[in-house]
Amino acid sequence: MANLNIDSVKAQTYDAIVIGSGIAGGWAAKELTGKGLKTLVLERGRDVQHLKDYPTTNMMPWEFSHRGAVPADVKEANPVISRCYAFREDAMHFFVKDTEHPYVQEKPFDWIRGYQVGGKSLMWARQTQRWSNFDFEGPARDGFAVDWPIRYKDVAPWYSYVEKFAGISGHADGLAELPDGEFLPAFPLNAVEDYFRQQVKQKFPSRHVISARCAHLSKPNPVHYEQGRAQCQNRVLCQRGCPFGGYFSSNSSTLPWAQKSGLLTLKPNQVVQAILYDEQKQRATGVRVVDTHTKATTEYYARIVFVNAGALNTNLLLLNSTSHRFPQGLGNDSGVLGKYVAFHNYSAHITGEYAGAKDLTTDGRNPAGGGYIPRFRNVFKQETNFLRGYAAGLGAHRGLDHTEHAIGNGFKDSILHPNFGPWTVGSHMMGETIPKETNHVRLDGARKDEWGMPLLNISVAYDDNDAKMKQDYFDQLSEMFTQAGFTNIKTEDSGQAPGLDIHEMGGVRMGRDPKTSLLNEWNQLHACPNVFVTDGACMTSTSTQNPSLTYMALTARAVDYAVKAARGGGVV
Amino acid sequence: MNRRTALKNFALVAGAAALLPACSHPPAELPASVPLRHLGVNARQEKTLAEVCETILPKTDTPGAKDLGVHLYALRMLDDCAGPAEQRAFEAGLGQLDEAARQRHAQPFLGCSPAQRLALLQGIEQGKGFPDDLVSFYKTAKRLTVSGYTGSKYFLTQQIVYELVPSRYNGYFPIKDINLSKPRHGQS
Repeated sequence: MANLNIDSVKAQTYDAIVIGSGIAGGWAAKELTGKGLKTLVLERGRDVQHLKDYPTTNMMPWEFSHRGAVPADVKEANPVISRCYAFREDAMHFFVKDTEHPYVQEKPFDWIRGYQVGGKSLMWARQTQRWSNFDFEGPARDGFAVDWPIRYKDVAPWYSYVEKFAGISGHADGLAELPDGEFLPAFPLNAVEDYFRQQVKQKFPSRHVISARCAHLSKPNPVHYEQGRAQCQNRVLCQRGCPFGGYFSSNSSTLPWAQKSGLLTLKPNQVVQAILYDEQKQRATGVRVVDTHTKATTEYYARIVFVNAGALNTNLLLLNSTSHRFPQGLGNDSGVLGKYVAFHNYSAHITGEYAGAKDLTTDGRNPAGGGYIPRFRNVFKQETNFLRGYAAGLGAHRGLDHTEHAIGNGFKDSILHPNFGPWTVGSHMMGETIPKETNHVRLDGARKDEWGMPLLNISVAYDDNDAKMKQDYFDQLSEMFTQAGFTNIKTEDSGQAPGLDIHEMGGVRMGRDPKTSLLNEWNQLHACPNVFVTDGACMTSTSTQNPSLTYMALTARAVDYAVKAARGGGVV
Repeated sequence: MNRRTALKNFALVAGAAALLPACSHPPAELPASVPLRHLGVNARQEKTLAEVCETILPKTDTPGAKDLGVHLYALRMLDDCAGPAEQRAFEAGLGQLDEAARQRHAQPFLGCSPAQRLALLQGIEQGKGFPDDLVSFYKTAKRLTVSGYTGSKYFLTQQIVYELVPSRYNGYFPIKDINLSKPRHGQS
């Protein structure tokens, strides 16, 4: 700051800085500007504007050179991102290639990233479930991690708040383990998903199959039209960016809303290297960024800083923000920064066939993807040889069959006039993993990337609890499929590394005690209270729900607190 | 000779070849009509592949594989998306096809009648007594013929209609009401 005159410091000073423009950063931007704060959003990737920057959105299948497939040379050069289900020809441009942004895997970890305005909110799977107290009370009841400093009642109004704006479709199912929200109409279960729901209800009364809840405008409200969004048209090509704004993303919703306030400055192509800490004032004063094109460094200043860089990048940034006061990283008096990283175990799948409902199929496409089975293991009490449990996705589909082992006229006829095959049913596991000190990220020595950031070393692995839980998923789902009369049941262990679930969480966890956690009940760094972390890094435990809705709610809640505290002379 | 000059020269030769009687086939030394970076397939082999695709899905009262350029799609997919092992097996198997045709019908594949081609490929489909690479080539060619045909604009607009914007979802749709060739009841 020394060589800057007062005017240029003023020009680079905002009320608040948000680092990252993904699902959490977008919400921080909307809430901060909504409360009248002049807000700077810094995004490390390129700009992606709603509608304008969705180059593949209206392409027909035959217009893709490789009909969706990824060329072999791209796969070979980028093995990690090539394992991601959504890294296909139509959306490759929204994912980080391995070669562009290296990291170190002390243990195998597929780090899936989207460096652009909107981050991964552009390509996310859009599943949105609330947590319940069975989730927030998990660590305390089962004796792992640390106690969450909040409970369901603290977050419930904020779930409602973000759901109304984002637009969440779902049924009010009345389940204690999966609280209902502010729902737009649910996308229905199809004939076989619904059949399975009834079978499970009869034969396993404490288990439930419900319509998957997702961030799609099944029936928009005025607030959605006001955002420039329209009803979901069931394209299910969401990863390309939606021309209708049918699903929620930062690009379609929170960022343009923040822009309308006139208080938002959005700067793409800016890598934040460090958060600046003033030893005298004992607070963060701003950030140091490097422009990805010019490599020039600049400082920006603000009273409030929201860190929403994406779970592991938020860890990296805090670890790299060292000062005399914080030699181990900003706010890291406890030494737990970067530790207790966890994720979701998505490595188990099961498929089967159903011979019934032969006279029925589906018409159109279901953006929710089908059904959802909330966690049913160890919910009300510990009852298995492993801790916690899993939720499961469920989908049934009827494919078209043509003749096999033939060629020529008859074969062609069978392709032009196919028969409906049997219904196939599939499920995938979404298992809670236990945060452990050994599952951690750290700076990888002195090696730096092109933008002067140290490489992140990721050391995260499955454990014995994960293995037992996976076996239980196979056993229980096989039993449920069998009881429902499904046949040809096959289980599959994908053997995938952690990370491919794209639900990495933790490292900057919330907790009551500054000795064992980084953030307090308001997502404020215990030791540097004008810095807030509300992305996946803040998570004390993972539960089984897709986490984005919780990040949105925690972000809106933290902004509300931060602004009230700042205006009321509180600690920020 | 740089690549551009080479292509131009080949184009001149190919133009001359087009004037030859219809029963003759492109000589092996001409390159394929599409740029290939990894796959070693010449003009004659390209034509052989086109006839393999056509034998699998022939022209009837609807277009055949050749009409839709399915063999060119197959070459592009193999060249860009297949690994080296699959590419080498494909090249080897394609080379073995003529040998198998000569043994059974005393002609290279292109010299065989449509009935002879069908008989030969049906034999490979049954899979007995053919070299591994030839069987592998055939399976790859068939897979790509089917995906090229069913993924074509023709198929997805005239046969089983792909809808970019379905605007609906019905999970209990009676099959008797389905007409796959009508846009309102397309693929799900």
